[in-house]
Amino acid sequence: MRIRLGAALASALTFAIGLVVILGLLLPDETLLPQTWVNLIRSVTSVLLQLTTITAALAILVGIFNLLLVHLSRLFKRERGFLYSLVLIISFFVVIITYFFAREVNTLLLENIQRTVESALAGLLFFALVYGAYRMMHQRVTWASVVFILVVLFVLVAALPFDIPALQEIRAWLMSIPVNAGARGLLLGIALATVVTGVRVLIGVDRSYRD
Amino acid sequence: MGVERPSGHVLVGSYGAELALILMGTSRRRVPTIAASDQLDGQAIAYVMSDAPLIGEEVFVSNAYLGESARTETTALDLLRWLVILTMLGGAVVSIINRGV
Repeated sequence: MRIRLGAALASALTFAIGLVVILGLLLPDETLLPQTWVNLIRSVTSVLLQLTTITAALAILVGIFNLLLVHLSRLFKRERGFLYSLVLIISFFVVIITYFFAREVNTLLLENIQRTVESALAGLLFFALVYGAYRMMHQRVTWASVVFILVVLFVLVAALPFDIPALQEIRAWLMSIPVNAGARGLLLGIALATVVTGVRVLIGVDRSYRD
Repeated sequence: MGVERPSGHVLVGSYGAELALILMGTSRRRVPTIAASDQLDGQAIAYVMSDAPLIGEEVFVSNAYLGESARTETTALDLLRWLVILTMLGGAVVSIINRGV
């Protein structure tokens, strides 16, 4: 069997770093290990976590530059929709410049443009959701989709300001018991899957980072 | 997204209710979409509006949909899920017994 040196090195590095970080995060204050070792593992973990944060920040910067390059190229080539790119580039530079040189203008822009646009988009969401519900019932009518739509309609109707105590009690029960249980179930599922994925990376089964 | 004409969209990330706006645009252009989010709002929207929603942990085992390689992963996930369910049920039974005593 042929083993690629790069792949083996990447696996070993990932395994070692993952193990050190887990140890650093989970080691209790009082262990059988000597205190100097514990301190060393914790400081290495801290450095590794800082490196992760810095890498993530750099990735955001790279993403911003890439976004600018894509839109500048679209603008210079006069591709379809270049006006949107122009608006994006102007907005980007106006926000950056006002943040450094006229902070009050920046706040004004944020409150009067950004929040207004966000509110308008939130208003549009209602129509998008109604359209989505219609589309779902049009495409696939399953018992799950029927239950979903009925519950959504019931919760919306019960949220209206009518003074019907029975409706409001059922709504409160729905929100606190079945909805809460479902939400917790989903979150537990995500947490379990994260653990399994982490273990796969640690034991070298996940090859996504080395291929 | 509105300018380019991709043959499909894969929307995976930390989307909230705003996912509805993106999915409305893709469904109007009849572009197939796979959507997943780590937020509950986004998952509900994906369930309603995308062609292939990935709910909860499904996004982590997405390679299992494409081949046999992740079979162990899905089995391990199922085992862990049963373990959590049994722990919760066990906790509930112990709590009921303690109250009875």
